Amino acid sequence: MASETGEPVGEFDAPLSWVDSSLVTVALVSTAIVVVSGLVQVSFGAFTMSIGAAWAAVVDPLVWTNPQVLLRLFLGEGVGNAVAGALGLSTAAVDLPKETLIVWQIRMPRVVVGVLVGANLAVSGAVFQAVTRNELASPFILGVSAGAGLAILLSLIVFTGLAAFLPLVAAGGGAVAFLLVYAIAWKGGTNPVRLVLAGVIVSTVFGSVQTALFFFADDLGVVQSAIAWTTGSLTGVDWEQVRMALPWTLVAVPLALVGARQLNVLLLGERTARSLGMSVERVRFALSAVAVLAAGTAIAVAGIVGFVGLIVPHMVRQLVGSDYKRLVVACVFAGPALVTLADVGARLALSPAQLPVGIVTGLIGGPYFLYLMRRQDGLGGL
Amino acid sequence: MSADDDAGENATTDPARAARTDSPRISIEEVALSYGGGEPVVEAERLEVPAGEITALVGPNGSGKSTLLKAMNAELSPDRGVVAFDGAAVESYDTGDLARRLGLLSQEHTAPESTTVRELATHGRYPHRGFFEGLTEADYRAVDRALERVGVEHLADRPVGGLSGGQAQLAWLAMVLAQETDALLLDEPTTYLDLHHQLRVLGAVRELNADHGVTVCVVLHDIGQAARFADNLVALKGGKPYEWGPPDEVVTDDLLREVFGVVADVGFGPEGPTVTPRRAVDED
Repeated sequence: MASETGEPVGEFDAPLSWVDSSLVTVALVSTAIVVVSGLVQVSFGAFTMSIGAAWAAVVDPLVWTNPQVLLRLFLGEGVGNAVAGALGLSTAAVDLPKETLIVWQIRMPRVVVGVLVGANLAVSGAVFQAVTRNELASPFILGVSAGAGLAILLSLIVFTGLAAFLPLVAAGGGAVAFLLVYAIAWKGGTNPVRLVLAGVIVSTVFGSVQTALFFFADDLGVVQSAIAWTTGSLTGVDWEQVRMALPWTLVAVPLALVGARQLNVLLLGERTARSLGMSVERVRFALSAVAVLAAGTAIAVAGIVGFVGLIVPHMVRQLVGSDYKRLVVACVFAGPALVTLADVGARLALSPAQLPVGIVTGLIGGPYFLYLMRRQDGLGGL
Repeated sequence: MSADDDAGENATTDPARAARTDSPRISIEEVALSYGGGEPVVEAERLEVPAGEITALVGPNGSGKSTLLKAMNAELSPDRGVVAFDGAAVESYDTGDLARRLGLLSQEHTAPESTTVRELATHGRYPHRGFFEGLTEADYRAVDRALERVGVEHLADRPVGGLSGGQAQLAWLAMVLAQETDALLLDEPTTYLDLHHQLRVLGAVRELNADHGVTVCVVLHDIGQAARFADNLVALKGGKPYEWGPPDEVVTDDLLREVFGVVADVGFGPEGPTVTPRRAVDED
């Protein structure tokens, strides 16, 4: 979705006057990074084929001229055919060459999931930063990731029947953790330092419970997939994960875009927002819910990929400014760029062994967090 | 003074918004205000902010001026009594409806540094826009009018992070004026500003009041400034109104000694009483 086009989303202010050259640049450069990372990503795999053959498979006209092929991949066999039928498109089976099949069926989902995860995490972080008026806020720092991760582990190991609702389960766990963090940090208001510390507390406790759960896992396979989950990994994702994340992404991201004006007003401070007629508590709650949903969606398909929600909004803010209309749109582009690029690093750094992408983002994110902390005397105020 | 003239040059009268005859008044009856149900911080039997006039709340630190202002803005609900805005309890208004009629310039000025003055002023249109609505022609005009009245058109594209304290205050005033309410609350709008910008702020408010009959209630620190600027004064002491009325009735030697704890000469100039503080009264 984010990699498709550099055109702005035109849904609020009638003239798109808020789209400026810096936003267009961010969108174009990010899209280029996603495309290049994607091409690198599809060039590797168990099946040996030349890089040229892999790239040829990506642009295979058989895929691009038969929309039902893409619809089936993105929406699943049944829904894809139904939608194709409803749109008056052919639902005929298409015989794809082996290379195309491998690239599109097996290698492409990793890129697409990376894009969705990046967009969700970046948007989630951007929203959290405005809601808490805290530059250091992100789903990872605020304990949302830990809560979502715990909820997912519980549904993998204990409540195995819930697997189909992973994004919702993850969002639920994230919401619980976020409320806890907020309650701990609340003392007639919150401030950046207290929020971060409360996030550390809740993350630590939830992390311990996660580790404890490993002891209750019956077989090693579950433990391994659970560990992959808590570090955040795109290895082995399938179109299944795309289908799981896409609908929730299409809910959360547009809601964040629509909420941009509210976020801008929230940044003016509680008293001003209120005197401008905003029901501050209600808006804050609703937008937090959107951010938790976005984070939950990403975590449900890729596990806890840390720091994306912290770094991307911050970097983007330096480039396009703090107007949330621009910021959220830029996050939708830059988030995927960071995740897909980090995933290329995860694949190539110790080749042939593959790292979980969360380790790479953690290695970038830790120092970046340090830089944010040292850069200013007042910590994190936005 | 030239600063006053400076602000005056930029004033234009918009015939579409001719002086209102129906400006709201704010009245207070038998009110007690406290934070979290503790000891009352303010107790007032009756106070009035008359429609279409400028009323200044004055008093020493901790006398309850800002608390009273919060009650007028429905931020603090009274333990007893009623704060009425245009005849109805201010808390009975929907937040959005109230924001279209009553603006607040608070002392809280936290905007992201890269926000431009025009963007800030545009936020003043928030209560007038539906959830999905973009800016209309009327919104753009209101923002332009506000920038012009405050005299910051030349700063419109500058980020607020790079402005001086006085310029920033003007930018925030532009935001509140873009709200186009028929009553305004100003919480210490001149504190910490240099004299030039103090007069720019007060000048813009004065003109708005003269042109459109906007009801204004303002907290001011400087009694002399309040006496020159306001039509009415409310002097608070220890959370209770000590005296209220037109400046030349309220400002007396006694008041300055009793409320402000200063010995001062009160004179009478062409614009109302003048205050020349001499020395602090010894506390016992």
